[in-house]
Amino acid sequence: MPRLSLWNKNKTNDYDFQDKIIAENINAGGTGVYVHKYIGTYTDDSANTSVGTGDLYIQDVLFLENRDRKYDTDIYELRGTYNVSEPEFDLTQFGLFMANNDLQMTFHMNTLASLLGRRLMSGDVLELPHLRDDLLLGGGDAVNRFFVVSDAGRPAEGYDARWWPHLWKVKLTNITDSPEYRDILGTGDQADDLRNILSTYKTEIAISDKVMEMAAEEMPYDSGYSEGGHLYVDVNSNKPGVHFTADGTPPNGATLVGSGTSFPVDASNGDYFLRTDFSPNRLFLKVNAVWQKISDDRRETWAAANRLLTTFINNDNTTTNTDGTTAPEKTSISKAVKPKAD
Amino acid sequence: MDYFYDAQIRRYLLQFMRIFKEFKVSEGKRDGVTYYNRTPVRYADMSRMVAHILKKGSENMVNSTPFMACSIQSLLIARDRTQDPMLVDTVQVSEREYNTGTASYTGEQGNLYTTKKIMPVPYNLTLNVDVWTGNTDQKLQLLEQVLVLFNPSLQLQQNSNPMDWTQLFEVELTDIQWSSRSVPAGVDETIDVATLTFVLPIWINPPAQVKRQKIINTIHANVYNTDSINDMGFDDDIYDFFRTIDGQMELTSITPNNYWVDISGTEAVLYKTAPTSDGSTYDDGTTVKANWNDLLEILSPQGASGTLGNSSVNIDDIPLTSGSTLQLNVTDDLDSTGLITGSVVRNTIDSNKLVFTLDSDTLPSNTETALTKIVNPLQNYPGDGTLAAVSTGQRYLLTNEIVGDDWGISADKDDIVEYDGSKWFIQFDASSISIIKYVSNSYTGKQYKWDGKEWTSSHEGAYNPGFWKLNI
Repeated sequence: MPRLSLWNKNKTNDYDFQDKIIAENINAGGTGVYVHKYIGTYTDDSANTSVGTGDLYIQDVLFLENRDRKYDTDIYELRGTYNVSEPEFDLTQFGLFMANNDLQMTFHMNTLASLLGRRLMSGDVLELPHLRDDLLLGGGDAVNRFFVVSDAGRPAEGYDARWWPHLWKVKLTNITDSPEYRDILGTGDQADDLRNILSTYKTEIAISDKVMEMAAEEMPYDSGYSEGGHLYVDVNSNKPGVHFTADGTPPNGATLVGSGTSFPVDASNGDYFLRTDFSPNRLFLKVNAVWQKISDDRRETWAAANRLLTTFINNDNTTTNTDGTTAPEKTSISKAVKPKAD
Repeated sequence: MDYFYDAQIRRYLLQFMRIFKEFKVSEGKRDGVTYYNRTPVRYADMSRMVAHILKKGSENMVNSTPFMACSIQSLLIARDRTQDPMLVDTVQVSEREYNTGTASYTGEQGNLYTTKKIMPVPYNLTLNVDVWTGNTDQKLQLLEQVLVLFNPSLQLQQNSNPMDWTQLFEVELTDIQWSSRSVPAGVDETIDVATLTFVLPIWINPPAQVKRQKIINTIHANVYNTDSINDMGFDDDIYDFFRTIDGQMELTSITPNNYWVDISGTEAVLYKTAPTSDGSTYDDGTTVKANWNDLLEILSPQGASGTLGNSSVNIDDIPLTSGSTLQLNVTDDLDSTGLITGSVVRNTIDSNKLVFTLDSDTLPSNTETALTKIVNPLQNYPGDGTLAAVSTGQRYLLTNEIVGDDWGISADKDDIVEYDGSKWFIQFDASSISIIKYVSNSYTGKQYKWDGKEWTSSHEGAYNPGFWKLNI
């Protein structure tokens, strides 16, 4: 009589029998899951930072992350099971999170392999239609809930009596509106992009813009501007409390005789002239033979940098080379005037 | 204490958050196209209600990265920047005249204001900016753009009012917490948060005092007239040196409007332009009368809207009482206290004029015996039917020389002749007197002044800015 043993190094008919029952159990009792299959990344490797091919491709070997992910345009429908838990919102700076954010969902392993060609992997995005919410605050299109697989493995409960695994458990977390999922959510350029429906981005930008609008009401121009045009200026006085306009206009509503890069030769005493070749533009008053500086036009666009630094960062100028080619003036210092290929 | 609130910390926050408004991140190339995303920034500590609204009440909504959140870490008292808490800074400004009809400012001077500001209280406001990113590349893109701005600090302005002496403030990056995640990540993959810490030395201002100016024509400012504070005995070791100085100051008077006043008889006329040195022509070739109401309404009751131009202000309410006086400085000394005074009342016909009634007691003392009359000897002589017959003590000021025998003497223009009971003699020989003399005309009650060259009214004429004062 052979030794009694449930273990067999070969998957036998027993394995197939149990596997079919387990598969049926999940197919019959599980919920529908749409799978957005990760199929690689957009391979712009001009920076030469990637290794591997296919599923094993790693986009950035320094930071070890695949950012510009590509998802299959076909959507696979699977069945999976998980324990539904009470939602509990956790408020962070980022917004509301689910305190019990992570779901552990179980799939039949061979079904995955036969449908997807592989098991679910980290980076695959799952869409749960049974969590579809068609009663959003404020109305709007109904939205499914999207998760990304963060971890995957064979669960303890997925082994049969003969020690063979049949199940594949994945750990799911909420996706974020980030470049990784741009293939699924869209860029938001199109009205029907999922990003416009599902993401808080547009609202966050609207809030951000409104805050900036309020800040601009307090300070419409860059630092150095003072709102003094409505004040009366005794131009012959240097007494304290006298404020000149900071907008390049003459004091007390007087009119400019003109503006330009050189003073007019036929100006009279008391004429105001704005020199536009000064940065910022500068207002002068003709006093006998002298053009006396009065004030500067400080109505410069607000920038989060000093004026000098702003000229380096907000620089859209181009330079033309001797061969007629053009190049942007703003160049990263590491790439400035690099040698060309012979 | 009464309520006041100027949303000052809110303004600092607004301008601070503005720094982070336009940062973008590249999302890499897709089919040859590079997509850029703006990074939203907002206050970190939102209420749960707003958070639910943001999520549209559904856990299905997806949060967006990258994203920046600003929060206040601390507000500490900055004792090292504490200055004299009793210091009150006073600034006088005037608005341009506002034409309510055209809803625009004119080029003329309008309301005058005195603004008093008491020393604000210094604090150090520490703010955190949490940079939430979905991947390391995003994070480096954002931080590189932010970090170059602080070398070491950035100057911002929290409002554009030139009266606000705390409008400028600095933002200094003082600390960076690279990541909220542990390395390696462990069992949970959480969103990465880098925290930048900034310190803002700020000032919290009490309310200012803004008054329409009550000194109508003259502002007296105490200034030290010296080229070096060492001349005043300045010593580093003396605490609050400038408070130890007594009143050895120079008094400087200015007239904010540069209005000047012309006194003619019982009329005090207000002018906008100043006369040139010879008084015959004016800077722009004309004289422009000013409206006394421009000055008087400063003390008038305000309408409901608080504006001077409010129609509910009754001209009769403008405070010019029977006790109101106009004082004139007839000397060349701006600091002279011997002012000629007269009462003033409103001229109901012409608002450029006040009715001026001289208080003769305030005139300079006469140096000469009073005149009987001022006469033109070429036209009149005693007993001609116009002038009375000669009698002892008669004194005439001559506006021309005496020619002929009607007077029995010869005298020049500007001389004063007197009858001694038997003959006329020259009591005041103008050609030989070069000092100032005063004499009253008994006939008109007016006083005249001899300045060595000519006789003029002792108080009538033009008064430059600073040489007249209106007391309400």
